[in-house]
Amino acid sequence: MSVGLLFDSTRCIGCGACSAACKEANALPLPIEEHPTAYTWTVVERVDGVNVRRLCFHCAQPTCVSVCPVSALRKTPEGPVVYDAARCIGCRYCIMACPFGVPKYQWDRAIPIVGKCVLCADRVARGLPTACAAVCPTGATLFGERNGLVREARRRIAANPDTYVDHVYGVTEAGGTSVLMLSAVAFERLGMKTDVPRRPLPLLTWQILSKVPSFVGVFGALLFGIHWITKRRDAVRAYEAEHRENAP
Amino acid sequence: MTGASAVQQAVRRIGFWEAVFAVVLVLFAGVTVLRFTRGLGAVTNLSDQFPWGLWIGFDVLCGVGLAAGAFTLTATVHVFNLHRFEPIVRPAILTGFLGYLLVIGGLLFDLGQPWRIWHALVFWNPHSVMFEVAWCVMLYTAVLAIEFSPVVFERWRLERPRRILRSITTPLVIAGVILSTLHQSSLGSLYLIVPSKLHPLWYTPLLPYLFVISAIGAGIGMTILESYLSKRAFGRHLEMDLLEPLARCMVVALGVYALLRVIVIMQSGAAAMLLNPGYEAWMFLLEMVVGVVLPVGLLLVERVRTHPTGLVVSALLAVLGFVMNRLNVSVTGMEGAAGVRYVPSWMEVTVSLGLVALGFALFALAVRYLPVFPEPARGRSS
Amino acid sequence: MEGSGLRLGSVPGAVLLVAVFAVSRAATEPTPELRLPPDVTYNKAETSPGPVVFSHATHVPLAGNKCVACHPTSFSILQPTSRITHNEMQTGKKCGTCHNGTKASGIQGDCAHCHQLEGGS
Repeated sequence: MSVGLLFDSTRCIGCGACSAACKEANALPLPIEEHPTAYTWTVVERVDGVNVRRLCFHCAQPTCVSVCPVSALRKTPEGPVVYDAARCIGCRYCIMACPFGVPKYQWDRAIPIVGKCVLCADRVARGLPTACAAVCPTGATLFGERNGLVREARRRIAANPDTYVDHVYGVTEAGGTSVLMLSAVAFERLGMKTDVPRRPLPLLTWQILSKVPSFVGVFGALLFGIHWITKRRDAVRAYEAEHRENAP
Repeated sequence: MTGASAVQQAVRRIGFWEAVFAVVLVLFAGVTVLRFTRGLGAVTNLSDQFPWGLWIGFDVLCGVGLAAGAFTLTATVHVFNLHRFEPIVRPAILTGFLGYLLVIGGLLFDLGQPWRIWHALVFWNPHSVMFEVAWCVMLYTAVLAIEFSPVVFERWRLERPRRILRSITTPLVIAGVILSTLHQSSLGSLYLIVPSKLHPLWYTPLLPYLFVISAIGAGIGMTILESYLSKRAFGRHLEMDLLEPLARCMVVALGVYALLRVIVIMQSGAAAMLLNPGYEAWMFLLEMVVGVVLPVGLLLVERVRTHPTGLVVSALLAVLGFVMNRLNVSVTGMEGAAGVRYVPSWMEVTVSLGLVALGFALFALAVRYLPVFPEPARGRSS
Repeated sequence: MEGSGLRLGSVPGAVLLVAVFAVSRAATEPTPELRLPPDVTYNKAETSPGPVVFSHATHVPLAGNKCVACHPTSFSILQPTSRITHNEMQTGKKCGTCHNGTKASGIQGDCAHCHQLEGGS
């Protein structure tokens, strides 16, 4: 079973319980900042009169996981995309690549690591909901089986067509995500990225990387071939030159 | 005496460039301490919105590309068997080797935890372009070191190692060419993953190929420039009979590159942006004019191509254009989506300058004490 | 159509229209119902005059429906706080963050304000 979250911005009152619970569950330092940082992994922002949560989307085929050179980021079978701070070398490719702009860095530390929501992977492994979902007083954040949440989201849109924008954010974005969102207003008005490709981004680099072994073989053979041919050509020329000299 | 005249006296005694070098190194040392005690935020203008800046855009992308002269020249001599280019192979390898040392130096500053740089050796991710870059850089730096070692062995008259190396020259050079092509292209592949972020005037699925071709062009340009600077510093002459045909290869490389760029932006529709140029369009035009149109135009004229000044100026333009391209891909092209303008801090610039200065110094030392050039270098004392 | 009579009459008409519109909007907007944690009972300790019952329902509106007013700075949000002492409160911790006599009522004086005294109030 793969878990996820459904955030319904029409039910969010901006109480901040989610950010409080996240700080506590992950032992993050206070205060709760206005925008996500390496120390504040989720926060409710008020944009254009609407409360919208910022957090990692936990993509099905995460870009950050595919780009990390040391596999410090990992998609677990349960759904959360987790981070191993012990492996991280701080190249920040994950920050550069994430189409949602999620991972953040500890720019102020001499020994910095990346910070992002990990969907309370250890709580989830123990059968608990994520901390944010556990405390949300309005049910704006719902925790559950991911596909079930997609069905619930679609049900809400169908039941209240005048309330919601007819789009469940996270079903097609980046090939699908575990965190889904509903909104009453257009998602770009909430500062959410609407230019994320539908195809998972890792495919863009895999189509090049998968060709590397054959490239090495073919190109190597070609170079050896050129070397052999030109060497032979030089040897023939030298031989002919020598024989012309020695010709009677 | 006054402060100003004291400085003037000191500079006259030590030498202008040496004084500049000393100042840069002192600042460099100070910034290094700050960088490792206070973290990246204290020293750079990087941020979550703009995580890669000058040290990646210039030190890594340009450093690697500009050292492409090494693989271009070793291929010319040992794969295409054009042995008349042999005299300029060693300085090209040295430039390449130092170039890669400086790239690694830049990475040691940019990585958040550079002491963990060896992690890529034990923790793998074959799906990551960065992983491929890391391995290729490590392997190719080793290849360059091995390719350069005969110079050292010659100096200390170690005949056996020299002979062993001579016997593995061909596979070694071929390995070097393959590795170099792979990661020149993978530096471009790094940016394939951000189609919604990199500006359409630079983003294309052909990025890896464009990076290789422009690296060949820039590598040749760097070889020409390095010959010129060596001439000025060590009293060497410009080997026009070798550099002129190389310049022709550079024209071909740049020409193919330009054609591909034009095809790409016309197919994607990005070309329309050039009709009503905004900031990015102007940067694109500047890069193409300075780095491709001008040098190609100049070098097509035989009188320019066969004259040392014409050759060097064209090479300089091509190299500048290359640097502009890499900075446009990594900085200019990424600013729009990031929503911030990135300007490197003076401390970032100091580090980059310091690394380049160290490269020059190491090059001078190597030329002074090792048989890098065919005849003994008769340089003035520095 | 013309004349001041219609113009005067259009004002209350417009007000009525706006009122009807506003009420209809309010009736169809989904108002999120707040699911607050249950009341917390702090059992009587040895030196305490009686148990204390903390009710979220009375405190949350006072904090503007902002859980972050108390969590996680003064109180854990994931684990119920099991014990609160007067000493802590006096140093500005836990309830003392607000119950310092200035922001909200102080903890000295009227014990029955918080404690359920034995044998009726």
